[in-house]
Amino acid sequence: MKLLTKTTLYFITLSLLVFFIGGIGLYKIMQNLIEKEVNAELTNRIHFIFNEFSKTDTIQNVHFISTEPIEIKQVSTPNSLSHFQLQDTVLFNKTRNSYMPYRRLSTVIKSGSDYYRIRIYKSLITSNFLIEKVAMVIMLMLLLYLALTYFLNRYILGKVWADFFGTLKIMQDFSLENPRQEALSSSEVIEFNELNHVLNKMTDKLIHDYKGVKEFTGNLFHEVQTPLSIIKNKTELLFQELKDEKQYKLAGSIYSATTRLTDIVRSLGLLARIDKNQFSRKEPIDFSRLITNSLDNYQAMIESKKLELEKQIQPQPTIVMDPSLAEILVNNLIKNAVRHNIEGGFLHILLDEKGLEISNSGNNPNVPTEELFQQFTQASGEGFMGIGLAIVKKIATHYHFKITYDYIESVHRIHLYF
Amino acid sequence: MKLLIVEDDPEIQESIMAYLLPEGYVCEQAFDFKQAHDKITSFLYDCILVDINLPDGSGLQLIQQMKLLNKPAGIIVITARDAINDRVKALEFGADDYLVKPFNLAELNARIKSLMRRMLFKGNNQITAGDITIFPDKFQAQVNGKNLELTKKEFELLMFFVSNVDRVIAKESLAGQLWGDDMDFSYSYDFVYAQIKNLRKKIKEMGAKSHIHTIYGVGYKFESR
Repeated sequence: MKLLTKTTLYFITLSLLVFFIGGIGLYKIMQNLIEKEVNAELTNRIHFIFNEFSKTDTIQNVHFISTEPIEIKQVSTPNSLSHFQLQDTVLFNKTRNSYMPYRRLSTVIKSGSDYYRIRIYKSLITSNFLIEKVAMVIMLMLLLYLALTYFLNRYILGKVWADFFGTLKIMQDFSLENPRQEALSSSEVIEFNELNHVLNKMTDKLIHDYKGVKEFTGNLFHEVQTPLSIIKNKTELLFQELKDEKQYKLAGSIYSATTRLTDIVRSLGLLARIDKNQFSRKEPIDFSRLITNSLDNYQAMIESKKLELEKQIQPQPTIVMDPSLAEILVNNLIKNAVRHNIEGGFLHILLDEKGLEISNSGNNPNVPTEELFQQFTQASGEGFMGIGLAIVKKIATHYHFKITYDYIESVHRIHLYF
Repeated sequence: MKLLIVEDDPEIQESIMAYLLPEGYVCEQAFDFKQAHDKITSFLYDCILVDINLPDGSGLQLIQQMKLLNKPAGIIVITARDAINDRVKALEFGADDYLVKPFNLAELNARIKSLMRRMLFKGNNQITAGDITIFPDKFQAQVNGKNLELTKKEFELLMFFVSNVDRVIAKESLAGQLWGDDMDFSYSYDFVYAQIKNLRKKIKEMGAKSHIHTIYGVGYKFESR
């Protein structure tokens, strides 16, 4: 949720809650006030009637002009003499042909030996109407206020947070590969200034460290070549001089280790070069041809392991990528499937427009398959796996291909989705 | 056959010299751009081995210079692994082949021989090692005049052996030769064993006296006899 949306949402929710409670309170207070006012008027009128009555002393003679209904009825038992009873009621209005709300005051009065019940009424139509109108006006005012504060809020928030959003934008565009040295601008808000300051310091450090690491790896790859060459070549020369089997074994170990070291340096260098975007050629790739070439390479191995090879090549999509990376990708996948296969196992290759799937028999790697994509994963029984699959993963990620690795029921399955 | 080796590291220079001298080449050394430049302007060579990175200049300039002077020598460049641009440029400037550091001497030897053959015999050549004869341009091999049926990989392997007769070749070098040295091959050499086994069997079936001798712990040695 966006900052502005969230603050606005909070603001609106809280305002509505306050308005709702306030509205109910206001309504109750107004109702109360009006009821008191109506009661007072009714009491006033009954006193007026009493007054008239005491002058004339007969109820029949009580005649007064009233705009409001009045009911006088002779009753037998005076159960509530000169006691005022106030309540809400409805009366039928003939002109409107409907029941209308009234406030009624009823009392019993003694005229001679007779008792009369007097009921006087006060219409509540006007007061209800008043409450309604007042409530409506207040509601309108509140809505207007809400709308105004909403826009004002957004405007102010936008203004206040503008520097923050600017910072955010710059940070989003930040890339270590290609860092803009443009420092974050200063803000009038102290907190944002501090934030920018911290971020500036952090990115500077990041850029500096990254450059250092890049330089270091670059130098390492470069500087290590010459000593490696020397060890390699000298050992080769040594081979020609030796006669004894024990010495051969020693020299052979030196050569193997040097070759291994060379491969590690090369592979890490390759990973670094993919990162540095040094493979930027763009050519349509014929994956079918790459697969055939790669299988040719490992033909002897496939035969000696007696692997059952099945190749399904369907119309393939045109993938544009660097040809050397494509070759490394396919080669590594097939090499991996052949090398870690078992005697008399199988190798199935499926290429269609959606992707490339390579499945093969093999032993349980005993590590989560996702980890096999990481550098220098040690899979059980196979010894050092090398970084062939890490390179595959790197190339796949570089071209935004999704890649999955499953090991289900003794079948290794790598699926590359174009 | 006269060779000029342009390489600034004295140890590497010495190794190359030591490996190539038994082949009967006349080798000269240049340790920097200036020396190399003096030599190529004054003398004629059949083949020049050039490291691109020299302390006082670029091997690329040397290649340009050679082409300007119209020198007929074959050129093999040695480049660093990450210098793809250098490689492409070197080939554009007229280099005949390239090797990536760190390379192995057996491969260097094979490359020089292959280049020399291409330059001197222009296609009508054959290599004989003991009772095996190879016609590189026809991808054909014979034992005592009888054709040897080989797969592409087996043929490449035999070529490599024949270029390095009586030399001990590490299995790692053979793997790099067979499958390119791009990837981590050093951990399993069953690929190499499988190929050698087949090749050895085929040669033996033809009754050849030459054979691939196993050097335990290291690799193989082709003995022509």
